Amino acid sequence: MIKRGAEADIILGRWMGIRAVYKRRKPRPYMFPMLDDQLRRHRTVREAELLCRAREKGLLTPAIYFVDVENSTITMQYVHGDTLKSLLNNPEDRTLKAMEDMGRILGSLHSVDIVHGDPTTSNFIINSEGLYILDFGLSYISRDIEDKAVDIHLVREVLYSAHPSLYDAAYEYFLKGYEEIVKNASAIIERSGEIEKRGRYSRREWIV
Amino acid sequence: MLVLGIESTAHTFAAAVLNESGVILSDVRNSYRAPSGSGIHPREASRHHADVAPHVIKEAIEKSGISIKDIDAIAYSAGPGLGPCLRVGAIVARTLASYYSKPLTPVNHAVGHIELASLLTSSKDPICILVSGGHTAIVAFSQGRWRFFGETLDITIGQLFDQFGRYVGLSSPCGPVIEELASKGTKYIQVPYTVKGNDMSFSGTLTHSKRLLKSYTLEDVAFSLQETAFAMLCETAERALAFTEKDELLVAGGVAANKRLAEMLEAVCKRQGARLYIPPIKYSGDCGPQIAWTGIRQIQAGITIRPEDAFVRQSWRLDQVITPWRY
Repeated sequence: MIKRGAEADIILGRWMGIRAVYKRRKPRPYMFPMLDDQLRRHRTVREAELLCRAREKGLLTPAIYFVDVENSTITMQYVHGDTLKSLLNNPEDRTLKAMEDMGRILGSLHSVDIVHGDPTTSNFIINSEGLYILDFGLSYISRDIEDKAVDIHLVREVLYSAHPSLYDAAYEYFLKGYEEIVKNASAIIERSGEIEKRGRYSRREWIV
Repeated sequence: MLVLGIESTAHTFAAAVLNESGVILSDVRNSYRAPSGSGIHPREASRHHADVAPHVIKEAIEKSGISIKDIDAIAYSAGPGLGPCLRVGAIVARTLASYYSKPLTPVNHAVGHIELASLLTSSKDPICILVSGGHTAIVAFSQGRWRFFGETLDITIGQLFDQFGRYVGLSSPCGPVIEELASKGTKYIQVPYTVKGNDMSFSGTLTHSKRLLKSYTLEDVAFSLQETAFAMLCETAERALAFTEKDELLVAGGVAANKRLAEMLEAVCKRQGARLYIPPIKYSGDCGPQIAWTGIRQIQAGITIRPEDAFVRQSWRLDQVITPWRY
C-alpha cells in the first residue's frame, strides 16, 4: 500500500510482470450503499476514459493497463517522483517552474474541453520526464467557461489554504503557464472571481 | 478574568459570563421564532433582540453571581451574520463598555463556534467541520489563521434544510424536524450529488428535492436529501483529513446536533484513523459562551477596540481573522 487516500487505496503491485499501481475505490461505509456504488462505478469509468484522452493529447499521465469496473479498480503505470504538494511545502529551485507547468497542463486540458475537477497539488507528480497529472475521478467534458473557472478557483483555494506563504508567486507562475495555452483565459479567470463572490461571505482580494 | 459575551448574529440573542479557565458561570439565551413557512426576517429578529437584550444581559450577570462591575471585559459577535441583528449586539456591547469603562473586543462568530467546541472537547489541532445555517466549511488552522479545505459554493446545509423545511410549511430552524422525518424514510431516491474538488454545491439538491415531493413521500425525500448532503460533507471531510494528514475531526455549528451526521463522521474517522470530537448539543448552536470564551482569548492576546470602533461586519470571512493565541 502506498497511500490510503480518502477515495481510494493506492496499492503497488505488478501487472503482467511490470510494476503497476492498483487504484481501488473501496466502499465507504458511511454512505448509503446505492449512492456509494453509483459514485464509485461512475468515477472509475470516468477516470479511465479521461486519463486516456489526456494522454492522447500528449500530456504526461499514467498509462492505463486494466479497468475492473465491478471492483472499481484501475490498474495503471507507476509514476515515481515528488508531489507538487511536497515541492511547495519544501520549496526548491524547480518549484515555481513546476507551477508554470501546472498552469500549462490545466490549460491544455481546458483547451480540449476536459475539466479536471480536482486540481489539488497532491494530484501532480514531478520527475525527470516532467510534471504528471493524476486522479481524473472527478473529471468531465465541458466547453462551459463556468466549469473551467471552477478548476481555477480550486487551484487558488488549495494554494491559499495549504501553501499560503508561497501563494502570490505560485499563483503568478501558474497563471503564466495557463494563459500561454488557453485562448480565452481572461474570461475564465474573471468568471472564477465571480464564483468566489457567489460563495459564503466576502473573499480577500484575489490577484486576478 | 471574567468576560461577558454577547451573541446576536441571527435568530438568537444570548449573553454569557465565563472565566479564563473556561468555566461557564452563566448562559442565557432568547431566540426569535419565525412564523411557520417563513425564514428569519432580519428586521423582525433585530426587534426581538432589542426587546429582550436588557433582560438577557441582566439575567446573565445575576446568574453568574457577580456584579457587572466585576466584569473584566465585554466581547460581542461582530460578524458574519444579519446586519440588523449584529447591530443590536454591537450597540449593547459598546454602550456597556463605554458606561462601565470596560475593554471591548469584537469576536468572529465562526471562530467562536470553533473555539468553544475546542474547549469543550479538548481537541488540539483538528480539521474542523463548521456546519450551520451560516456555514458549511471544512477548515484547519495553518500559519496564523483558520483556512478553508473545502466549503459550499452556494447555500449551506442549514439553509438547505431550512429552505426545504419552509417549502413544506415548517418554521426555521428546520434541521431537527428534517432529521426526525429522515429517520422515518426508507427509500433512497437519487438527488444531485455535487462535489467539485473539495467544494460542495447544494442548490441543485434543494431544487430537485422540492420537485420530488410531487411523486414521493416527505419522509423519503427528507431521507434522500439528508443522506446526500451529509455524504458530500463526509467525502470532502475525509479528503481534507487525508490531504492534511491531521488526526482529529471536530464538528461545530448547529447541525453538529444531528445524530445521523455524527454516525457518518464516526465512520469517516475510523477509515482515516482519526478521532471524532463533537461538543455537547447544548453548545453546538449559537450561544453566549462561544463569544465570551473567544473574547477571553482575544483579551489575553491584547485584541481590544474603542467603543466608537465597535462596528459589525456582515461578511467577515473566517480566513480573514488573525488568531494569535493559536500559534
